[in-house]
Amino acid sequence: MAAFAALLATYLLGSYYIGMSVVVDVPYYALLSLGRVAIVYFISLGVGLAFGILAATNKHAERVLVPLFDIGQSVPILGYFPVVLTFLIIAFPHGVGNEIGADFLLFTAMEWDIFFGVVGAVKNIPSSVEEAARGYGFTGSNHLRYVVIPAVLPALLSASVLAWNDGWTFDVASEFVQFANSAGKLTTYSVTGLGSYIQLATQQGHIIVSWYGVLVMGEIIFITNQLIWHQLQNRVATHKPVLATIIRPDLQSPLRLRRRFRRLFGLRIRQVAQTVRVSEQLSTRALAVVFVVVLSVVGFLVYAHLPIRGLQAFVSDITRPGGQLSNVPLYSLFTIGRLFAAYITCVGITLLCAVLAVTKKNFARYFYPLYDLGRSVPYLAVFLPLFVTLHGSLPTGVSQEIASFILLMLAMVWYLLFNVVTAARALPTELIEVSAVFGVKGWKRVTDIILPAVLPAFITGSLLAWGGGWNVVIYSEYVQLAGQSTPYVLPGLGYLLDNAAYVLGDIPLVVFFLFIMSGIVILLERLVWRRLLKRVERFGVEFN
Amino acid sequence: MSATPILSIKDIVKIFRNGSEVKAIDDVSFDVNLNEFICIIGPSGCGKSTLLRIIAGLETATSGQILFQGQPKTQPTSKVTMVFQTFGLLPWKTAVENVELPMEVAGIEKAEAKARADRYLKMVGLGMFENAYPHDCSGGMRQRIGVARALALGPEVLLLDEPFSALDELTAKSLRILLLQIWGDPALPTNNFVMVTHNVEEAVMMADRIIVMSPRPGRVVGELKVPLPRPRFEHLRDPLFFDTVDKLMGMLSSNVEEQM
Ligand SMILES: Nc1ncnc2c1ncn2[C@@H]1O[C@H](COP(=O)(O)OP(=O)(O)O)[C@@H](O)[C@H]1O
Ligand SMILES: [Mg+2]
Repeated sequence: MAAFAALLATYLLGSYYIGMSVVVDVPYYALLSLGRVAIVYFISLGVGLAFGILAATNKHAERVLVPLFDIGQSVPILGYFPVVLTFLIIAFPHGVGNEIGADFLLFTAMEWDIFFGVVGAVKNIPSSVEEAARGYGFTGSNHLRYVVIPAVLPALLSASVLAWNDGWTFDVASEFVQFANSAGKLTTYSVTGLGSYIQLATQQGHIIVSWYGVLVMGEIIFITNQLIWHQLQNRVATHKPVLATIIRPDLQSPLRLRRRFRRLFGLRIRQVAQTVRVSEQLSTRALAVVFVVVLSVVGFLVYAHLPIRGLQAFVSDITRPGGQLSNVPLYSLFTIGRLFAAYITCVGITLLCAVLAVTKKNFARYFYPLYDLGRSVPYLAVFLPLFVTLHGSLPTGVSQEIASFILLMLAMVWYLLFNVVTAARALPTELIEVSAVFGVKGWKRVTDIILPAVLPAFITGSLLAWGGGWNVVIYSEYVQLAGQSTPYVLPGLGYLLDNAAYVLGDIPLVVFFLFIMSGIVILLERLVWRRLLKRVERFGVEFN
Repeated sequence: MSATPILSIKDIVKIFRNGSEVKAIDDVSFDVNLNEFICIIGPSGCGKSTLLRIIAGLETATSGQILFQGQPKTQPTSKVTMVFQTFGLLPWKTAVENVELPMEVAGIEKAEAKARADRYLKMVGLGMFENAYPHDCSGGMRQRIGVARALALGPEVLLLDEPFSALDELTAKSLRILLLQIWGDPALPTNNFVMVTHNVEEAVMMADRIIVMSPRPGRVVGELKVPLPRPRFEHLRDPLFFDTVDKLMGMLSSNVEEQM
């Protein structure tokens, strides 16, 4: 009730202060976006459940699906969105391509969390439960209904909350895209909804209206979180904190995938006769076939449909001095630096909260409502109005850096906060009593008890935070406003990619930058986060 | 009996209030005399752990007080330390670091702390495993580290909350022997033990005196002096041992039936 009252009040205030004619259609736009996010959520849920359960229960399916989804989640979705959208617009004219493109972006924003949540949860079913189920003759649908689904539900809910919020965050990016042609003329592809409403208002300089749209979107996110997810979570008894380790378990790395390919191509064929090996080879072959098919379809589409320069021109362009390639190392560092600055700030906030969560009894009373509120901010939607607002009083570069910093922080901080605070609160009471009995207090307690205890959660949170950060940094380094002949840019990998996509329209170049960016993402994840996690995992406290 | 008891538990009442009220302990009083090994026994949920935690200063009593060497005690001190049921070791510290931590906090010099930690780890039979992490240790080894940590500060009183209940019987047996040795060693400053258990044989085997508690709310419903001479291991086949076990069983179960 309060929820609808709040929405109504926002609507009335909006129509009073901004003007009836401007806000009259907002409920309609909001419903369209809500419908879009909800439908894509259900599709993601279906796909995630089906493939997740398949991958978790069938070895062969796991070998194919997990690496595919792992690669999928490692590539920043806003990076390949323009590529996909370009194809879709050509393949499905009359606005149908736009809609499919928007849905596709939302799908990729939601799917990975759900899939890995399901796989992790099914794999985490205790073997004693599985054995008991088998002993009592649960098979097929009974097994699914009484064992798998109940076991998956808590993780599925946690993943759904993440997916739902991410879906809304990317709504604004999915509904409104502008390509510039060589003459600098902009072509806009948009689908009707709250996201494009916000974007359009910003483009036209109605900054109050765009903030108003952001407010409405935030309210919708907050209300749906409270009405749907909290209710469901209260109903599903969760006995353990569902940490993000469950959402993104380390199942199989692309590096191992590479090794398998090498074996396939004869570099490592030593074992042929053993039946186990043979089946492994078979599935590897199947994976290879899928890959080759996908690659050739993409390749064919590229050459059949796009007026691109020849491969030679591409190579010479990126390798010539002062060409695109020479910028890559420095610009990559700029982008990483931008992410790092936001990350460090998030780390400070998170550690403070972790200490408070352990030392202050009623911390949770204040933390979780604030967390819910903060998590409802559609940060991608905030970025553009924020930039334009700041731009009014600050130099362009500074205002874009600040807006970008805030965007990155909002994208990163929640993963860290949620994981670390949950872990801090789940700290076994025995450890807290140990520190009391032996007088471990103050700073010593922070460094010797609290920090080591939350370290695994902290690293998982960092992994997720950087993933989220890469996704949005692409958005912040390039801003194209209507009536502006050149875009506002920050030097960075995201800018290079956006420039290739929206200005040059050069698909091979976009793919090239995507490879570099995904390479950095995967390397950071494998070389830093996963490795750290492995190292600290065995020192983790046992949650009971 | 010496004149002043080392520890006096006086009229302790504990009521947990969070939403609903749970009366966990209802007016418990007893003394721990100098050099005494006390066991507290009672059914699960009768407030044994709560009582021990109040003695340790981890929980405040709703009413009543704890006197330590005649003085009221409400806070944890290095004179009264504790061995935990599931060991309470820090997983990110090695055996020796776990033992050193309380000494570091107490301001004992680094070299001295290290030397003491070495000595106590040797005493509990872990001289070779100083640099092992808890996750590389068996349950029995972990509890040995827990014991070394609690003793390294040289406390007057050692509190133990079901220290063997997370261990298998064989491991538990060897640890019981170790604890009795430590308790009886006049060279060590720690000679007053208060141990919580729900194992009747264990209580009879180890205690000088057993405090018997009722189901919740926990009250003291009896006290039993164990008449067996020490070392007890030579008397585990004595009829006297079985009689004492039977008697304690009787005290525990009559009380349960009374509740039903
Ligand atoms: N922090 C707490 N809040 C509320 N009730 C508690 C708390 N700690 C213990 N209790 C209750 O007090 C009673 C005694 O608990 P405990 O001392 O752990 O029993 P025991 O160790 O004898 O098994 C139990 O009923 C338990 O549920
Ligand atoms: Mg207990």
